[in-house]
Amino acid sequence: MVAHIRGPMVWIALIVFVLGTATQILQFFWLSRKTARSFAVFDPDRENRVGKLSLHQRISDMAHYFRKTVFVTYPLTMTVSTVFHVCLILLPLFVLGHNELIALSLGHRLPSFPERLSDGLTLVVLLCCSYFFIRRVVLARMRAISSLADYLVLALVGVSFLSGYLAYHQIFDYQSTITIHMLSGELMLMAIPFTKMTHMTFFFFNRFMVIHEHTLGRGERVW
Amino acid sequence: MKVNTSEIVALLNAEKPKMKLWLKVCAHCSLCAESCFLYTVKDRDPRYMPSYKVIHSIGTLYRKKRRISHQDLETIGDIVWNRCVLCTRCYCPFGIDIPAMITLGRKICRTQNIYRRYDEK
Ligand code: HEM
Ligand code: HEM
Ligand code: SF4
Ligand code: SF4
Repeated sequence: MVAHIRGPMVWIALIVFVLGTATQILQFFWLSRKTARSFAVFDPDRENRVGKLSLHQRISDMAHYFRKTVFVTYPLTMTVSTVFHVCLILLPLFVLGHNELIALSLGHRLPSFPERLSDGLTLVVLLCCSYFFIRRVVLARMRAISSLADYLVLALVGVSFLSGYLAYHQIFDYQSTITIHMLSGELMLMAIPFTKMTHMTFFFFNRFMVIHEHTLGRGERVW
Repeated sequence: MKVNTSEIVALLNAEKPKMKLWLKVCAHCSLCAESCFLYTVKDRDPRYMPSYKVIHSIGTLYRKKRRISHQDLETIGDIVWNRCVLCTRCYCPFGIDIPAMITLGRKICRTQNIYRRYDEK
């Protein structure tokens, strides 16, 4: 059992993650189409603006835009969220333990964070997860829309990091913590394309390529 | 009162992949709350939050499909007609199109004769 979790399951998880994400991306293109209208959103700031903008205009546009984002309405949550997501993406890629395994199986050594740094950032992620959990339990507006799945996804992320931390410090039985770590990590990877975590791809597609009220990029497509 | 479920299911199926994807992507994070003026005006009642309105209208419809009752539709009708004015000001970090979802809810309610009545007290 443990041999399977350590061996083939890792590859299965990676394949499910990659194929699932690829399917999501194909689905975006299948469900949306290109349109001739290049900017359909009514935005008083961009009305009657033709030709090149001065640097000053561009900065004030950006400042004006920023004031309308959730970073200003919910500064604490968005700061926690940004820290959480940056660590969430960087850590698994640069943790020494992972790169040891990659070096073993591919024969190539990838750059890693110093161990103290990844260890600290792991704690930061755990703090962020606790913040999300408390917010979900305490705030009435969060309780009103929370389902079991929201807690499960958060728990999956929390357990992957917590067990990685425990294994690294060899707190409790190493065999058990590392097995739980590999299992939860694999489950999380596989769940990304099929749960709300699929926002990883959706965010970039929908905010940059689709025309709507809050398009960030060129916005050439409609659903 | 009788509900014509095949009419509802036909409308649901026509936009199913897109609507289901939006429902799935919603992180249930409540960051859209403050962007809806109705939410702020109604003393920040969670039932006026954009995501709440979508989950309890379109979300319920896709979950129950043929099992939807007239009572359910009355509740959904109250949400899509009375708690959202389709002003398209809602701001979701993922850009989920809340008004488009409420619009589908209205379309479905209309087929079952549930709509906003201005001549009633
Ligand atoms: C897919 C299978 C995975 C395997 C086989 C695996 C394996 C490992 C191993 C061997 C270690 C080192 C433990 C030690 O030093 O003894 C480790 C640490 C760690 N892993 Fe994973 N891991 C996996 C997935 C993940 C995922 C998906 C995440 C997070 C998204 C993650 C986050 C971490 C972190 C943060 C640490 C370091 C903890 C610390 O230094 O405090 N792992 N992992
Ligand atoms: C790389 C692009 C990504 C972007 C731009 C992004 C963006 C966001 C945003 C804007 C939120 C809502 C704000 C919040 O509640 O924190 C959110 C929530 C969340 N994201 Fe991401 N995300 C990304 C990737 C991921 C990945 C890869 C995972 C997991 C493996 C993930 C897990 C989560 C979770 C669990 C929440 C909900 C936190 C809660 O329970 O409130 N995200 N994300
Ligand atoms: S609609 Fe957007 S902002 Fe609102 S809860 Fe869902 S993901 Fe969050
Ligand atoms: S479209 Fe509806 S949900 Fe969105 S801000 Fe306007 S009233 Fe609120």
